[in-house]
Amino acid sequence: MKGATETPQHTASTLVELVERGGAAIEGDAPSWLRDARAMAIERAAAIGLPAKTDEEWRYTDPKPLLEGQFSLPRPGAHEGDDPCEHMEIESAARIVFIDGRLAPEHCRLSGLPSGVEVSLVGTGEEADVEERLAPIVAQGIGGARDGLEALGAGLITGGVFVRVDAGVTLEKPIVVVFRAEDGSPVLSAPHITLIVGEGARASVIEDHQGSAGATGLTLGRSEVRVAKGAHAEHAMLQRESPGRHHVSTLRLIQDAESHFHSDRVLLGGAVTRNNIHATLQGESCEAVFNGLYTPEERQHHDSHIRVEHMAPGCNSRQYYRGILADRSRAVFTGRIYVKDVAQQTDAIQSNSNLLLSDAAHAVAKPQLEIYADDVRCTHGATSGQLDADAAFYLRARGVPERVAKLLLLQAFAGENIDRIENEALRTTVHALADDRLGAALERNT
Amino acid sequence: MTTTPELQDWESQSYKYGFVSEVESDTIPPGLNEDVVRTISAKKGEPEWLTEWRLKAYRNWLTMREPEWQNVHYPKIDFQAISYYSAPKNTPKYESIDEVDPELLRTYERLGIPLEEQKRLAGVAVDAVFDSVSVATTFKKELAAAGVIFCSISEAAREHPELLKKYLGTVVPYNDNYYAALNSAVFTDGSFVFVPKGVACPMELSTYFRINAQATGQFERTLIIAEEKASVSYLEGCTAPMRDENQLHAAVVELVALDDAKIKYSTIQNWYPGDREGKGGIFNFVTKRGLCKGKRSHISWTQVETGSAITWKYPSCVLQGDDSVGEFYSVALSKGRQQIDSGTKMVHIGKNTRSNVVSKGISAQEGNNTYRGLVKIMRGAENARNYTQCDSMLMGNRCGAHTFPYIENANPTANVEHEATTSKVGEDQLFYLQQRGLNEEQAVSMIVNGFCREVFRELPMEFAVEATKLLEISLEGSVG
Repeated sequence: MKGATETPQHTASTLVELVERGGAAIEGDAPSWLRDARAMAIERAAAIGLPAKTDEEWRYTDPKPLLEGQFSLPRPGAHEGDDPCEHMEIESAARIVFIDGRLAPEHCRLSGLPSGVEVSLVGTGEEADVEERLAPIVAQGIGGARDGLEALGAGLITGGVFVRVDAGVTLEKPIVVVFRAEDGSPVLSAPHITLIVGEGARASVIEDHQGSAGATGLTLGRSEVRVAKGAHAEHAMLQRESPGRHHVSTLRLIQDAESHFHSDRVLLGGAVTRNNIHATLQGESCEAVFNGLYTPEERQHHDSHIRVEHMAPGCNSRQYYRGILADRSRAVFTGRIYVKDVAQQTDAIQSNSNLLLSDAAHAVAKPQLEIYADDVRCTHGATSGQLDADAAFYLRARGVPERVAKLLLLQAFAGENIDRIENEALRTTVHALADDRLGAALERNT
Repeated sequence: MTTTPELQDWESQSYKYGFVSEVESDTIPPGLNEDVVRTISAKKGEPEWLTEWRLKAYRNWLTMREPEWQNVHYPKIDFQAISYYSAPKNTPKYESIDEVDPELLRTYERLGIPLEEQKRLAGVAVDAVFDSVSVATTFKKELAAAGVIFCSISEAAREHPELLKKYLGTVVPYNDNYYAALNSAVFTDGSFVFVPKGVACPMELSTYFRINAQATGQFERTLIIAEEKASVSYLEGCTAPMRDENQLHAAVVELVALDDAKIKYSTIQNWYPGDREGKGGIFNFVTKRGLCKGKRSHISWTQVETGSAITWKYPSCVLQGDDSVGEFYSVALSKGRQQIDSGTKMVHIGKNTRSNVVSKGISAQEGNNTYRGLVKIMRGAENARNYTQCDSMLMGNRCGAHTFPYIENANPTANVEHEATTSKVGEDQLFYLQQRGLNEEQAVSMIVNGFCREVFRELPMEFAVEATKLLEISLEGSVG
């Protein structure tokens, strides 16, 4: 990726055009495996088609702005200059920073990792021999994509991180990866994160997607997580992109027996956001938690699509997604629990609650169960409504001013899911961000 | 649970209502084109506007694509292989039941609905649809005295064209969906009910449908109108004879409730489900929709679905009038290779509208049961309320239970709740009942009955008895 020759891919185009031009149009000096992956992704997208609003899975989210906006891939080379990122006060094992899709090497910290932990950079021109381990995962991601956009997200890879933790190794602190979009041309970045946790090992990754106020463009993110037997993995994503930038990210998870996984996804920013999770509980007696919070406002659109597949007996999964919708925003939640015939003793819960603060907000929920085994306990619940007037009255009767009472109730509603965030520093950050945001939303919506 | 004998299977149990009665039919050859549509209309002696309406629907149907999103699977239907009209031959309108073809009466008796007895029974009027034409209607006079019109839709086309023209297609338009368009073009019969202002229908109205002649799809069209402050309860039940060929049944039911009106529509569906390999059996693709047009109007759907190879329908309510109420209660049992994709749509348009949905799905053997529902709160639906509960019970690991609800809320004052659970017959429940001296079969039967109780209690009394019986028979040989 070194050298600054302007190839066609770096001029602005839409994803539709990119796919029409075909895989061969991808040129440049990226390593051959990466060129192959990109070509494969584009070919796959052409074969299965880019999503359309007529697709059942895109019924409530119009993919047009994602597909027809003009975006350009990041220019080759590294980012030089200041680090404008908003960093959380977090103790991390390593920190990697990408700005406008380009690695900012000066602001990364990769040293001092314990033995048995590998953190490699991907697609930055600096990777060593990561391709052998990564290429099959990327190919699998592209092959398993359910629509063309997901295929592109799985294979375009403008930069990313490959993390592997050997069996039995415990990495206490998280690896933090920051993706920042700055003002300027609308950049299409396709960050790719891989987290492979060996048998009995423990590790966590936190992705922080952020942008300056005026940034535009599109993030097509992909996170691949593999949790081996008895391992424990955590993955968190804080999406606080600028309101003018679109964000699509897909988490693909495969769990082996007796493993534990915890996902936190907080959606605050972005124009059109699509949050996909595709989890396969492959081994027996796994546990997985999918915790999510979205607080769209103005004209933001937050769409979460979660599919949890129980493929083996005795697994336990939880989906907790909550949303607070202000102004003219829209939110979509689609969750599916799939239980294969052999997956007896499955215990799965899915819950989605939405609070609407404004007349013009619109919430859609599709909590779904697809079950082929009989000895299971699967429940789902969905609610949609406004702040509990009785609770607000109770607080006011105790002398709490109305606005404070309402804010308290909002904080309590969101707090239930924020408190579930595993990493303490991230939890504190989200609490602060949510408080500001909800307070302001309340001002506007009363 | 797969190994316990009481839940093994029902294959030894043949379809109780499976026989073909030998009544000569006046059937037009298979195939569908504009001439067929015109022929049907002419045979029915319909006014011109209705013929034109049918043709409009047919032309629209030609431009539509067969839906593919459903969670049921079947071989492609050859619409040209179906005969679109079948009427028992020589069907004068009888004044007395004695004039009716004795073969036909025997058929009814085997079905358990002897008309002779029905007359004397608890005030239930029966408009028996044999294949596609009404051959006998009882209690007409008593209903007429109350001002209630209860007749076949063909009769309504001839005798009450102004009412039919005013309401037909207002709830389910001719171009609503693929099968509704087909129905609009070729419907041959069905019931028409009109309850005028302020009248509480003096008896429960009931129609027994029966598909008879081979390879004739049945396309009924039912229209029920309750004017201001009127109320009516309508019962629909069906059985069908055994055969090998898949049979398409694409009915349309429209309900209109004006201010303060109440319509209760109950269904027991027990058509031939096909054999153990899934061969034969009825395709039951129905569009049912009620419009709560007036303020404080009330529409309630109750269904017990145990038959058909495929059941695919969503009895729905459009809650247009302020303070209107929509209800949906359903028990759906799929066993053998039966497939069900059913549920409801509640569209809240008016203020203070309320809806209540209770769905109970039971899956056994290789049956697949899908609940698919929509709750849509429009922007103006201030203080709308919805509560949805859908529970599934699985017996064995070759069956499937699926829940696909859609919840769309565009009004912050609305409250929408959805709950669903999936479980099996609890070992502890079974143990408890057996310990009290019940055998395993009785215990399972009792648990299943308890599981469905919330729905059964919504049924009119006669139907509740029949439904409980039907469920027991369906689980016979395995669970008492």
